[in-house]
Amino acid sequence: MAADDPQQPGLPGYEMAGAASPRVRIRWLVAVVTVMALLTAGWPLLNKIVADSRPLAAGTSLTIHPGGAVSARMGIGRGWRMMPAESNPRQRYLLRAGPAMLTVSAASLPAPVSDAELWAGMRQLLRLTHSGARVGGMTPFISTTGQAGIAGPFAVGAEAGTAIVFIAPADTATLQVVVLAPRSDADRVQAATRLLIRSVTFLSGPVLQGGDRLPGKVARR
Amino acid sequence: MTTAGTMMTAADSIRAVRATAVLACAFGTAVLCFGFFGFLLVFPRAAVLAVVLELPLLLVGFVLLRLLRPIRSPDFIWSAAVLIWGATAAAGCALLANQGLVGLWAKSEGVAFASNWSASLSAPLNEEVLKLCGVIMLVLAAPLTINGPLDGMIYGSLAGLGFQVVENVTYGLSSIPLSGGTNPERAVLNSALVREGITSLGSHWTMTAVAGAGVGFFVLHSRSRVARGGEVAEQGWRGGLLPAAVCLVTAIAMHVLFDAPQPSILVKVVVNLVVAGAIYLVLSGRFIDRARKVVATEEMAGLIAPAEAGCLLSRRQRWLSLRRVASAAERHRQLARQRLLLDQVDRDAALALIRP
Repeated sequence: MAADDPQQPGLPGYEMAGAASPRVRIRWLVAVVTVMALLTAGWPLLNKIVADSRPLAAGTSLTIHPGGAVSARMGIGRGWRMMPAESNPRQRYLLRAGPAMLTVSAASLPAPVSDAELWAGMRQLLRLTHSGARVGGMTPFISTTGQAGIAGPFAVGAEAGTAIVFIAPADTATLQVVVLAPRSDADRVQAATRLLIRSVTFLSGPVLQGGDRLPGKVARR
Repeated sequence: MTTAGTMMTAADSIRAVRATAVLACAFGTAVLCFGFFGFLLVFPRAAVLAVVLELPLLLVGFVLLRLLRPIRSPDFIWSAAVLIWGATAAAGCALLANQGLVGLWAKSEGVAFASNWSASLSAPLNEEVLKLCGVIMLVLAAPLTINGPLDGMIYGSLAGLGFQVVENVTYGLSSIPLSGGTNPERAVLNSALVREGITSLGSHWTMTAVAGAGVGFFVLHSRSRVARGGEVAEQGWRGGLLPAAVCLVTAIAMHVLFDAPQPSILVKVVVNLVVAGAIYLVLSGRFIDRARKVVATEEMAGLIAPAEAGCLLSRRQRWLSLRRVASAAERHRQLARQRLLLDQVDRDAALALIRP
């Protein structure tokens, strides 16, 4: 403590001001540290103890951002479990099936962008969430239900997966899906990808039929 | 124990508090870096932009909140210290605490309920308590800094401001994935415009200001007991518990409202601003009245010269009176005397809030 520290005990006015005694001060310090530790470590520990998965019945369909601008529905295959602590119907679902992982995230686009820009954004987000991710090139698609999107492979260490960006009809929103599993579980990745591409439907805005895209979008594909 | 020994122990205890505060701030910083460093690597321009966009709020808020303290601004170093606490220790710990509690809500009540209510049922409790811990640490680390509810309110608002700035940065970064990573700078800019242009007027600084006033009441009651030798039990620290608890609960309620799905954000901002503003006006009005009475009494007793009394309670008048002094040594002496007199006025005016 500096010699000219105005808070130093012993200076005129310190005791007059009724400052706490050292014992009381330490007692309060312990109380503050205890409360902080309880909140900071207590909730996460309790959260870890409570089981974190909800099995999803085969044929379950999930709705993301219900009633919102990016609202979409999708079918989920057999064997997937939802992780509630990491899921929020407004923004994101995290599902697991053994070592395989599936995330679905809704995104609102600040402005319409090209497929290349969408894929560049997806590539960056994969780098953010999966350190060291190697992302391949994209392939545009239009599903049999008329849902447009882009998809491509990516790999992280010993795991490989598929990233898909579904594009909402008005080009103002996307649904980003990432399926990742050990290379030995490639079948699960392919099955999940196929089901999602078949089943994703945007609920907000007009539902388009096969090939019925906005002119600019069709021209790009 | 000797007097010298007691003083050493007091100094040691203060040193222990300060060291703990530094550790807590370092821990909070590490948590925040761990949570958001990836954005700096992948979206460096957007990450820098998110920080830069918050600097005006940080600087303007810091200056304005310190100016809200009537008569004189709170100590610069301790103002900065409590702001840093809010920005690091409170924000970092809240990140972990909120993740834990939000997860528990989702597991126990389902994701649909949690998506609407987990924020308003988690953040208010965790964040208000963690920010308030900074004000309590300030009382322990710098015992003469907070004399009453008005001081507690100002320092609380600074802790809230620090928290708010860091939270805005994290919201800005989190908006990048929500926009598909397609235009990260624009996503950050949009987030900053909303959070600085609308929500900043009634966000964390208002809530922690109210909670901080409670700490000030508690300190005031504790000192009243010490000053009276513990003879008047109802004026002791227990008397400060109720106002402190009421202030904390009010701050938590403000936060619950702020994070609730309804009403609109404008209504929430106005409510918080009105609550904090009303408490501030009452406390500052009473404080200024009491300060004037204290100065008048000291002047009548001949302890303060009329010229000193005339300028003591005004920042501008004090500054002008010092400017008129030609000698640097004399100016230094007068400045020291002004500070001493203001310390006395601060304490007496604060104590008068709970004394008949």
